Amino acid sequence: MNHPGSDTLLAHVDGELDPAAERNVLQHVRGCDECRSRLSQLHATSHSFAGAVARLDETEPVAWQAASAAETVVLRLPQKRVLVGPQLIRWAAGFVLLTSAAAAAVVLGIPRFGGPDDIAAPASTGETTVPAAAGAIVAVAPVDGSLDVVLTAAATGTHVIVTFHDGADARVELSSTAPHFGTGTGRVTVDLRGAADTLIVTYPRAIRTGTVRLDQRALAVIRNGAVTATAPTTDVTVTIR
Amino acid sequence: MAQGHGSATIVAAGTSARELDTWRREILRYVHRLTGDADVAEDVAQEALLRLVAADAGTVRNVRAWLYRVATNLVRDSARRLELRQRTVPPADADEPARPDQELERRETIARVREALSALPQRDRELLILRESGFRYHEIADVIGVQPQSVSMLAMRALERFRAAYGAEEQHESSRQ
Repeated sequence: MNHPGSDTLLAHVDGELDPAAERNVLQHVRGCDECRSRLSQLHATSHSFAGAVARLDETEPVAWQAASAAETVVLRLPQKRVLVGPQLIRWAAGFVLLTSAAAAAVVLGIPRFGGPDDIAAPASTGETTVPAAAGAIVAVAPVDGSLDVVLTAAATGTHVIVTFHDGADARVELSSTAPHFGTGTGRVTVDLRGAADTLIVTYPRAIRTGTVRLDQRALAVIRNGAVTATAPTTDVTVTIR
Repeated sequence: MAQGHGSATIVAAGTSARELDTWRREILRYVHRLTGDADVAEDVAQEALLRLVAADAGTVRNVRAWLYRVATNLVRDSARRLELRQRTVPPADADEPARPDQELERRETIARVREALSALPQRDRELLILRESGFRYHEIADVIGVQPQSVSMLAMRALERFRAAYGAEEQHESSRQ
């Protein structure tokens, strides 16, 4: 009598056999006490493993089980941090994981700009950017009440809408373009990659200062919750709401 | 002291957010089962989802398997570079305050499971946990990089190794009591 191998019995348990092989196993097991016993043991081993894994899941952080907001998922862009002591290992782990990815962004801190009227060229930060799918939104926390949004590679016809909300973060939302987002201290860059799109830049009402710039040109200046458009440009339309 | 300035996030809204959330929870659970490290699980889930967000949608046919494959490779990379070790929940120390018997037994069982999994080769752990996560053999083969026709034999051997290791842990625990 040809008994099915243990791997065949496991494939039967997992529903992976083709119909002909499945019939053969069932027919054989019906008439073979030894293989029925083997199959029973296999079921027991499989259930034992399932039970063991379920015990591991009991050690998951409680926060993972909490229902997330149904409407949003937040993926935090990585940032370089100054770490001391045991946290260094965790940061190093994160760094290793992230730099293995083409889409990883390791962002160096940059000096905050002197003020909205002193639009200086940003120092070279060596920052890389993270690509995002069309329709993505980036949320950035202002630093010391200040945030600059810098657009690059925007095509003629780009429309920027500047508005406010009661949240704590500033948000940049594009409708159709797949942008590259980059971050720095108190700044977010949006590389439109030569496309024209409609951007909605939403500042928190509590923002102290900020600018929306196209490369080096200021499109809008925000100060103490109010926004004013600066020198008009034919490249980009700015609407303030 | 950690200093993080101007933390930025990519936010997905609506239907895509719900999908991302479901996948995020799956990857968290998968990596936590593999490594026992919640921090690593969060880092890997974060990275995998970032890559998915950045990926060309047309190139990803089976998103779930794709995410698990990315997560598997990230865990392997981190294990190689950092000599990642699975954390175990230590059994109660004799000097610890008295605990309810059931809680003590639960912790010891979890420690046994972790030790038994740690005794398996990395690929065996991945295979068994993917199988437990409901993947078909051809998907498991794709994620861990083996031939589909070899999955049943590899899984059988991995299960036997786990049973031997888990059984040995149970015997060891019994002899201590």
